[in-house]
Order: sequence, then structure tokens, then C-alpha cells
Amino acid sequence: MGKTMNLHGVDIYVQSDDIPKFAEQNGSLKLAFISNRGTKVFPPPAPKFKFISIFRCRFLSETEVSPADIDALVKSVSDAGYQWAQCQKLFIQDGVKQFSEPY
Amino acid sequence: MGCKVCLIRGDGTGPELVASIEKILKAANVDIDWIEVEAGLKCVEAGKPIVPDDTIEKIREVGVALKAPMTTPIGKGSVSPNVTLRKRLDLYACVRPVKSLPGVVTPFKNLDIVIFRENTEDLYAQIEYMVSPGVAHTIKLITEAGSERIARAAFQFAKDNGRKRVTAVHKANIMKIADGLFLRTCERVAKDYPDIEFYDNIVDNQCMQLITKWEDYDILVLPNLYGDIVSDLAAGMMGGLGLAPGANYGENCAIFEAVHGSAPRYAGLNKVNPTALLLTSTLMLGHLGMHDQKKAIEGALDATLAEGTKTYDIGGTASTTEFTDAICSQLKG
Repeated sequence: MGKTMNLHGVDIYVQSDDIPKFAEQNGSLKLAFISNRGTKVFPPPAPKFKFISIFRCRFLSETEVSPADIDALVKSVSDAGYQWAQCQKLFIQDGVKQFSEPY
Repeated sequence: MGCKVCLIRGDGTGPELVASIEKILKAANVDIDWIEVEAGLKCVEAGKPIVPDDTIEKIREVGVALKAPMTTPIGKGSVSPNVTLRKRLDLYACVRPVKSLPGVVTPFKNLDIVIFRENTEDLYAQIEYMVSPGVAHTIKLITEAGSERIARAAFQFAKDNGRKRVTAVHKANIMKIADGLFLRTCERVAKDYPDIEFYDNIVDNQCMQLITKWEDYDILVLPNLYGDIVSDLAAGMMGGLGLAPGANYGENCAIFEAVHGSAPRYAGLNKVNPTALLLTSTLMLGHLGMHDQKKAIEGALDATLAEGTKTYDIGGTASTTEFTDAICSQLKG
């Protein structure tokens, strides 16, 4: 308890019928992957299964970012015409990722 | 030329179990062209993904694989090779038949249940976060589409195999939204199968009922985590994990794998029980339409067990090789 968790990115759950399309670099935040039901579908190869309509889009920075950077990124997703359903900030603590990876 | 089947020899005791199965299938005149593909610890040690993309593509192309147990490396960032295969090939239906075997003494006589475990959703989506210091969130992902296809698989199996009833297992009294969606979907699918009785049961009660009234149950259909737990419970009722077969089916692809792990500390000791992987192989033969060979091998296994030739885990003294040779002798006799 009490250890600092440094902000390094965000998972944005986007509503879409197909794999959403984003710029791969947004400032220091890079599009790391897009997954569907926990399985990576971007970058290719995407598995051949029927997608559900929520995609998890992970944007990650090697360096610490500010909450304002995340807010701006989420706004840019909305501005691109996508509805997002849920967002989760991603933290690193003592060099260890505090979030899981997709299959 | 035989049927093409991809083969993963696995880690730990996997290779010696596969050797046993190859010998028995040969004795039963099963004609299979094995296509060996890599996955597991050897890949990790070679700096590759635990399941390389070309392995996934080859299994998708061939459509059928037999997989010996693999080891999930322990440590941060490691993913399960088994779950990776299920997820990336969308093998949504994990089917685990549990049935009493002759000569295997358990308190659960006339056990005959088939478990349908949803294989791609639930807490196994592996979506986890530390959201603040000391606070973790894991997402339990349940979809109507995912629930519907496993429910249909269970009901269709019941219809095709003369089974009488399907029981949906859940915890919808607590997780009213996620498990409620699973239950409501099963109820809706049940209406398409009026000749099959449908019941539902809360998972904790189901565990109790399984060990007190197992003969009342026929087909169980469950979300992923409950299916994982209940199928191991049922494997124990059958006599242990060394006996319990499993299959993972998708729309166009299937992987057949035993329920148990790779048991690395038993590797090379010629001690482990090949029954689970053998019954897994006979499930595969049924899938491939080789029904006569399936029946012959299962008969030889039953006869071997009934005569008292057993491995250590079920009270015998036979080595893997001795047990294998006894089954082969039954097939040739």
C-alpha cells in the first residue's frame, strides 16, 4: 500500500462492429494492440472469429504521461466518431506493469 | 493415406504419453498422418512465443490436433499455451465426458455426465488491472453470443446422443447481470429443444449435488470458470485426472487434450497413466469418423483395467509401458 503507481496509458473499450482504426502514435501514447474478448486482433494476424461489438484499444507510453494526456486521447477517440463504453488507466509500479496482456 | 492430424508432444510427461498413444493407435490399425507442430516450453526457451503463429495457422488449416499437456511458465507476463490455443482458434466448446471405468474403484458408481464448458469468455478473457494501490479489478466477460453457442452445443449433443436433460450451472443469484445473461440465454435456447429436459442450478449447490446425487445429472453447461472447477471435481469422481479426457471444439477446428497437466516431476519415470490422453484420442477418432477403432480401443482399455492392470495413480503397479503393452495385447488378442 502507498507505493506510487505511475500513469503510462489507457485501455479504451470502443463500440464498433469491426476493428477500429486509429493513428498508431498519439503524442507519446502508441496504439499497442486492439483485442476482442481478450484476444489480440491488431496488429495482424487477427484470429478468424466473429467479433463482439466491444474492442479494447490499448494506448501505452514508454514514459509517464499526465491525466490530461489521457483525457485528450479519449476525446480524440470520440472526435474520430467512435463511442467508447469504458476506460481504464494503465499503471506501472516499480517497473512492473499493473495490467494483463491479451492472448 | 491416413487422416491428417496436428500433434503437439507437450512438455514434462507429454512426450512419453504421446509415445504410449502412438503405440496403441498403431496396434488398433489407426491410419493417421501426424503433422508435428511446436508449442510450449521449448518455444519459450528458443525465444519464440509460447504458441507460434505458424502453429496456430497449421492447426487451423488441418482442422484437428491432438495435444499432450504443456507447462505454463510461472512468472509475470506468461500466458497459458492451452488458453492461447483455445482463444486464438476460437475453440468455444470444451467438452469433458466423465464416466465410470471398470476396475477403477470410486464411491460414484454409474457416473455418466458430459460437461460443456464455455471456453473463450468469463474471467479467462484475462483482462486484469491494478486500479489503485492494493485494489485489483478483473473483468468477467459474458456475452449473449458466447452463451448461446455453448448452450446450443450442449443441447444439440444431448439430442444427437439420446441424452435426456441439460442443466445450466451459474451464480445468477449473486452475479445477476453476467451470470443472469448466461442463464437467460440458456433458457431461451432450451425452448428450441422441447424434447430435452432443462434445469438450472447454482454452482455451489451443483458441486454438493454432484457428489450426493450424481446419477440425476446428464449434461451440464457452464461458463468458463465454473466449468473449469466442476470438470476437475467430476474428473476426481471418475477416479482422478489421469483418467479424464477432453476436447475443444470450434466452428471449423478441434483440439483434443487430456484434462491433466504436464506433471514435470514425473517426466522420464515411466510411471504416469496414459488413460486420459488415450480416451482423448478416442474422442478424436469419433470426430474423425473412425468409430470401429474407437470402440476397439475403448474395449481394450476396459478389459485391461478390469483385469487389474493399472498404473500407480489408481492403485496399481504397472508402468506406463506395461499398461500400454497390456492394452495393445488386448487389441491383438
